[in-house]
Amino acid sequence: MATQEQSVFDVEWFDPIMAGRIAVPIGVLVAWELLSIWLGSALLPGPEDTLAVIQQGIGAGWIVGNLQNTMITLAVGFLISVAGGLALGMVLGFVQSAFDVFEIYVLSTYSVPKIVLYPIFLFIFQLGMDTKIAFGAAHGLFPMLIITMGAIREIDEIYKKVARSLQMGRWQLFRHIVFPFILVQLVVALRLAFSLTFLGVILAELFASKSGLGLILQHAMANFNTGRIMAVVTILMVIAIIGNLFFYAAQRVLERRWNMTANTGGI
Amino acid sequence: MSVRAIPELTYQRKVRLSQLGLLLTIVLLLEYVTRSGMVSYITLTSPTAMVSTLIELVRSGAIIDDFIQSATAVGIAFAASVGSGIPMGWLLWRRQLLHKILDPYLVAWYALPIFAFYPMLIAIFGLNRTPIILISYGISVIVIVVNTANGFSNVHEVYQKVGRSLDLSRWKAFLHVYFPAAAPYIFTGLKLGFIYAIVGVLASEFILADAGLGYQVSYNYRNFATNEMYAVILLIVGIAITVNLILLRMEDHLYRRSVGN
Repeated sequence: MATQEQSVFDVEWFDPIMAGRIAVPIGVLVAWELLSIWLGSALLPGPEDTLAVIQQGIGAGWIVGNLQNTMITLAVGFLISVAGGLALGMVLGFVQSAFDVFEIYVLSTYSVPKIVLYPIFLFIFQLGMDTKIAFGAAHGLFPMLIITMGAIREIDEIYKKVARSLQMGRWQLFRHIVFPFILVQLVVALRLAFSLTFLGVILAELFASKSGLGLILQHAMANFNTGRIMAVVTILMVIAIIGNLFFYAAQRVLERRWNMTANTGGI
Repeated sequence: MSVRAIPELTYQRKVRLSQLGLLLTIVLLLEYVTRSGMVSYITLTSPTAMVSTLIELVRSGAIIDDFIQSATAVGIAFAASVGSGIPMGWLLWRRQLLHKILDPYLVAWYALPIFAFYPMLIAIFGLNRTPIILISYGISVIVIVVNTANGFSNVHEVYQKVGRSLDLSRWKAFLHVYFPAAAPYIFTGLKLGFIYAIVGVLASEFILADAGLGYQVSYNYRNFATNEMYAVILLIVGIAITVNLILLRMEDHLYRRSVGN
């Protein structure tokens, strides 16, 4: 089936995958525009209306400050979730008894809809940046932890035996065996941690906060200001996609390199 | 009959005991911290108070309607995700070109804070169950699509050859070869999809709604009804953990069986 499709487009300058990938966002924009025409631009502002609101918002000043605030919150929360998730994931990955005791706790906590715990975060950290950071980090921590833990546990015994027979030190073991082995999975974990931290920050801002794009969204929701809703939603989606594609690209590069080394190792 | 009076402390038992001990320590610590007045009763209530309030809420029926509202929304959203997600995943596997084109977008969809669309959906549909179900669907369908596609792609070449050599029709091959082989992966998708559907419904209700368990938490928070709030949180956490544990068990069973075969 696939070969047939390829032969139709088998011209040097035409790459059907690339063309399709370019067509998707254009299709989304067209669909958005058509939906906007159908529902009326007062209810659902179209792409150009939204762009105008964003331009106006940058001029009027309600976008830049709040965007900065959200991004700083996201950055700090992300760093905390990565550091915490890595550290805990390493411990649970390496120490079998810790894994046996805590695995069920980790998986259970991960499955709880964290949003309903937000009031507890508010009680502990009060209404400020700290709450948003902590809540975002709590979202990102778990994928980081779970993937790190799993990746370390998947390392083949043989590699560890080789390391032992070479009398590698702890650091050497980490540098030459563990790190290369878990690197690709770590990039996947970083991507998920980024996305979930972002979601956590937005949810926190939407429910109760003093600043950030989520707060603008909350106000716009209360006033049925659909122009602002779409403006903020568009900005949030663009940030999510850019951040995500960055990690995805890194993952693809590593996967190719990893495959290469894996193959030569196999030979 | 046994010679030893104390049962032998195997490793497995030690693990179980540590897990129970940890849980008990946390509960007792919470109880102590709240009873001794170290933490104000406005910010935290004791586990015993949470349980007794929860029993009261269930007995009086105050929370039953909200539970039914949330459960129905989760059910509808999840059913829609399964009904559309499995065929879409199957299509992605059949049409590899489509899969290759959409791959980065599927990954991005995972990452999108779909939730940010909730205010827009409320503006369009009004404050009712529709926006909640749509958000829940949008979050849960994607994992089902991706895992279904992965499941079919991972069907072993040997199984496919057997299907071909038996000259099975397309439908029979699907029913007897591809689907059973892909089932564990699809189940992983369903498991995540169900948990995401719960998260989608509760988060929407928490932010803005007029009923549901998520709404009960934020309503009680805003009205300083700490006892009731923690009781509902306890209920939600309990349901989420129980559902997750059951699904993990089932998943484990499925994978073991497929490996055993």
